[in-house]
Amino acid sequence: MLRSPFFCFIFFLLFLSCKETKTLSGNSTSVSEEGYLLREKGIFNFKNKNFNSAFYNFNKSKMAFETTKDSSNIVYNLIQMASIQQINGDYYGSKETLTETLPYVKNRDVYSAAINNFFGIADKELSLYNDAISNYKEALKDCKDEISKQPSLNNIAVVYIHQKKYNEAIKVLVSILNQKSINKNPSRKARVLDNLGFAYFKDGLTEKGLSLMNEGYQLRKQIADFYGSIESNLHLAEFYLKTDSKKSNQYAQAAYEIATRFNSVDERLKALSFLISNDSGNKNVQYAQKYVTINDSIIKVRNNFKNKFAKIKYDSKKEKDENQKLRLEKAENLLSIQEQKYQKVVAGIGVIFLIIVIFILIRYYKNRGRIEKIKTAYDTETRIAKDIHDELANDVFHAMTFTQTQPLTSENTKETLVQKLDNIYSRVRRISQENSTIDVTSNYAANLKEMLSTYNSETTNVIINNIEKVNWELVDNIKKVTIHRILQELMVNMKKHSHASLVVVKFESNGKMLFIDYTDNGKGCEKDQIIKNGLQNMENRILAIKGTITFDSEPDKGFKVKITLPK
Amino acid sequence: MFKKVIIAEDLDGINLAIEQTLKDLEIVNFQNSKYCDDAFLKIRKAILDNEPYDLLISDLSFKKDHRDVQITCGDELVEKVRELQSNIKIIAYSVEDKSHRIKSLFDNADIDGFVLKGRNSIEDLKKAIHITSTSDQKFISYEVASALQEKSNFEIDDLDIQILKHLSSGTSQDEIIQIFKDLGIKPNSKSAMEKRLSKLKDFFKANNTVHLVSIAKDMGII
Repeated sequence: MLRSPFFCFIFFLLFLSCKETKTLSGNSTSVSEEGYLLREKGIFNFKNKNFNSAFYNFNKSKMAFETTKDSSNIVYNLIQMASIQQINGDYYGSKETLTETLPYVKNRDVYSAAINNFFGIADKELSLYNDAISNYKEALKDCKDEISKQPSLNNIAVVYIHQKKYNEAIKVLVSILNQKSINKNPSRKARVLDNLGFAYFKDGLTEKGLSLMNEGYQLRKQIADFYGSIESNLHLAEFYLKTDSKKSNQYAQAAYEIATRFNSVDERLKALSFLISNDSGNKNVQYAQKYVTINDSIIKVRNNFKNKFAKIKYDSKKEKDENQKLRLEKAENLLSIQEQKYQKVVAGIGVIFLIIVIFILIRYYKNRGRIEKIKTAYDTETRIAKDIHDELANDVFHAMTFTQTQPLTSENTKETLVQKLDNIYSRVRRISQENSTIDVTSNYAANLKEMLSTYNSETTNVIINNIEKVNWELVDNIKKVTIHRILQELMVNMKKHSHASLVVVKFESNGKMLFIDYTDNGKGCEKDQIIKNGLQNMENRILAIKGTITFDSEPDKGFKVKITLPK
Repeated sequence: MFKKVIIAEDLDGINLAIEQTLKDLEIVNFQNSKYCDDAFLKIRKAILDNEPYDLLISDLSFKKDHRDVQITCGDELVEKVRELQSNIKIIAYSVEDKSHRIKSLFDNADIDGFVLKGRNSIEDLKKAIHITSTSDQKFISYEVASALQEKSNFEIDDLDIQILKHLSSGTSQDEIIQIFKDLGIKPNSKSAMEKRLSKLKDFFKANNTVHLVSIAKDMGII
């Protein structure tokens, strides 16, 4: 099964590139470590002729290095794979594998030489002799020194022999032999001698050919190159095929035995073919049968290998694709997780923002409410201060001047003074009453009614309608207070300014709203004066409890106020 | 005349005035307290000592100060005292002129007199002491006397408005009575109707029915 002439070269290359790649790739990520491990496994399996496993390992290793983009290791693994394929007779496959290396080969070195060599071998075996020679020549270009050029040159010569271009083959082989360095490598020298002899023999120079072939054979025997001696035996068997069938048989027999020992099928078959053509007796049938059996099995085995290699490659590729798919899915998952994360973050920020906004709004409205309250309180304070000043200060001052100017001993003046003081006292009480706390309990309606009724006088009738019909229990205390105060202010204004003889205060309510209508038949005032007349305070109070108040008045047409507020 | 009197009043000046009044009336056994709690305790003690007071003269509003008190105002005090000692005479002496509050004192605490602090308060107080000591008659200052009388409010109800509406649409008095009878609205007698109409005329200062309707319209009632 092994292809003889190239085996040494392959191993030479194997160890060489092993060393080189190890020094080359220093990046020891886990993937590249895995790649190295697989490669070592592959080399081990290769040595033990476990070609399937070796091929599998190299392929895996190659893929590992593909992820780390370690081109020299990728090329190395591919070359190993191609050589395994060639050893097992899958030449098309090996060419395919070799083609894969091309994108990774950038400069011409020992790798490109090896690749071209393998191309050449494949082409030779596929009988594409011209291609083979051009490939070998390419390989030659990459070899710097004589020694490394020798195997390629030898290969070229072999191809020339196959092409029956014996002269050219002889020229090449003689040039190798003339190199001094060839003596350092006897097995290589033996091969060259053998090939040269065979070429001379084919070219018609039988004597010269025989002596060279024998020289090579003897040299091989000397260095115990049994594998190489198969080739020598076969060449000699062919040499004697037409002249001395007995000798030919002898060599063929020897070749067959050694080939059997080395399990080298092609050589066995060749030996058998010589035996068949030499022998015409009973043994001939036996040889023929053996030939057929071996041939069948080898075809089968090689087809098997071809399929297996293809399968390994395909499976690995599939696996890789699946891995890629998985990785893609994983990436997608990660992406979606990330997206969810972002969404969560955005939602969180939104919620926080909302809370802050709500917080700010609450504070704003609270503040506004507070400011309104403060404003109303301030307004009330100023109103009271004004009341005290207007109503009391003057009177007290009058009383003072009265006591200073009038003799108090007189009973008459004393009585006047008491009158004045009583007047002041009742006014103070009125102011206090206007601003005292308001009863918001069950007495509210009665209280309100009484407050309104206090403004009854000889000249003024305050008519109240339906005050009891409102369900005061359901009205907020704050609103009750506001209503009381506003009505009180209206009444005070009425008393001060309107000179009305009739006042009607009408209450109405439905489920949600409360309506209060105030009407008097007093002087009224100009519409644009309404707000100026201290009614702004009332409006503020009503707005504070979310109600509305509208004033309507014309001179001599009375004064109308409509209050609407929610319960 | 009263033998033993207690005064609940937080202002010294007024205390002095009351004491002077009592002295003028030749009542010498009197005590005063500046807190309702104190007054109440004294009354309780007097009962326990079998020397109960005959008269309580109490203010209604007491100024809040550093002391934590149980009874914060005169209204509460008089009610509690009335519960404790039913035969004691009570005179409230206050600036309070809200009739419903005054009324509730008479109704709930069954006080015997209400004297309004004012120009005539000393005279009123003397009168009140006289009246309550000699009889079970109630006394109330002239200025707030209306609190105990029937309401002087000018209040109109839905029925009044209905009557006004009917009148404004030209319906005669008799027809309104008929309508009310048909609808089962009471009162629907002729006298009741006349009473209501005269009340409305009075309220609205109207000279006659036509005038009344016109005023009611002006005032936005109908």
